[in-house]
Amino acid sequence: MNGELIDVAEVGAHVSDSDSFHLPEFLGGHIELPCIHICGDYSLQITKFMVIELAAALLLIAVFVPLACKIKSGKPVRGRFWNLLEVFLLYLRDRVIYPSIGEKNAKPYVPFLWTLFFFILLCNLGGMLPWCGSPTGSLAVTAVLAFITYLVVIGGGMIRQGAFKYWLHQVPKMDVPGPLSIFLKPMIFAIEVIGNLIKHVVLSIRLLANMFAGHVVLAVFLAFISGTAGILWLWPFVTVGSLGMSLALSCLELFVAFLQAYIFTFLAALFIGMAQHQH
Amino acid sequence: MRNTLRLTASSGKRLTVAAFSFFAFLSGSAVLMAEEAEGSGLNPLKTWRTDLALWTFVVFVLLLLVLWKFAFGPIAKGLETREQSVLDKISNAEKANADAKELLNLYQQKLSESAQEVRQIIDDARAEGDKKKEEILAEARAQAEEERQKALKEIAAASDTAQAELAAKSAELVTRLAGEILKKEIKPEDHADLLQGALNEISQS
Repeated sequence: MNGELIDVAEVGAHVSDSDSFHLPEFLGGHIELPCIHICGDYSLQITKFMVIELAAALLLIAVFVPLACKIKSGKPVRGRFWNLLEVFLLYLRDRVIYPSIGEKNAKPYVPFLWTLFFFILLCNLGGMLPWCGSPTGSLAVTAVLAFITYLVVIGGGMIRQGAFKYWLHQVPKMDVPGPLSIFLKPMIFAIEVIGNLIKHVVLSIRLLANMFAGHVVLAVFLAFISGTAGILWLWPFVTVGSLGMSLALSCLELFVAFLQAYIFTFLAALFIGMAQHQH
Repeated sequence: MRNTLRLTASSGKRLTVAAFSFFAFLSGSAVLMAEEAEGSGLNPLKTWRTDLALWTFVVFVLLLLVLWKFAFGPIAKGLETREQSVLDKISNAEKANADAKELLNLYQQKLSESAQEVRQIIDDARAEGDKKKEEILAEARAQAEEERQKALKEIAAASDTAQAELAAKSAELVTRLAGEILKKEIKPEDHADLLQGALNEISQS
């Protein structure tokens, strides 16, 4: 039993972001991604996750713009694929967004939450594709998504209640004697604001941890095959076991990809709904 | 059966030990890998990439704007239009259903009234028919009676005429016979011949 049997850096390269796509030799092998010079000393190194995000965004546009052309007349769509997409949209709107925010206030947030769900879902599913990866397994991605959600939550609350009232309503009404309230209210204000921020940080960590951990476990199980290649009596058993476990975990990961996109959207809708009303 | 694999207590024990060893190997490797991963910078919380964050922000915001303008905005409106259309159709259908029920009640009422009217018309027609029948029968009876009376009268008149003719013939015959009788002496056998001749004449006349 030796940890050096498995190359951790090799396992990590398949899970984390990198500046190249590592394909089999017959598909081109190692494909380095370009570094784009912006201005002066600034340049942007294109990474695997950037490409996957861009592909996900283009795929969403390619799929939902034609769907919009079919739906905007108000007539029902025809075809299994379009109906499946519509089921997703209607489920999110009627079962997640409307109950969380309230039908009256939710309408401006529906396109944002739909975009959020499908973008996260496609980024999650990127990890299920061979030689790709899951951008949501990176903190930079999940943190930005949570940050945008935070901006929408605060912005929505300020638009709904008024900028001053929104921050004022962070402190609930309390029957506290005057001198005590001078100390208590700023503290409660700080707790509420930090608490709100923490909720969004947790939102990003939850998605990151679920996606990263799932793919690491998958990679580890597959790495056992190469790790035991030198032990002839053990290698066949490990290979069969690893492939079986990888298959089972892939099914679980597929479910987790949908579940985490749903949870992120559901919590975002809940936070937006909470910001619409004062304490 | 020398080649048959027999699972004895000792072979079971060996399999259990092998399985434990296998999982211990996997667990040990995983632990070592986790430790190495921590050291090799695989921890996702420690691998922040600002360029990726900026890229994600830009891609997501652009995607949101494009989808809002060309996809999800029109889709949301289209779904609302369709739902409103469906609600209107349901409302119209309910109204049409209520109207239809009302009309059905009205028609059923009218149908019932018509059936009553038809029954009345049939009864009236039947009564009228019976009445006509009775009138026709009465008229026929009266006509028959009249014809009968007329026939009886004609018979009576014919009988009277015949009787009068008979009487006249009888008187004439009697007168002629009496005249013949008065012309000759009547013997018994003449008497009988006369009588027989008179009877023949009467019967012939």
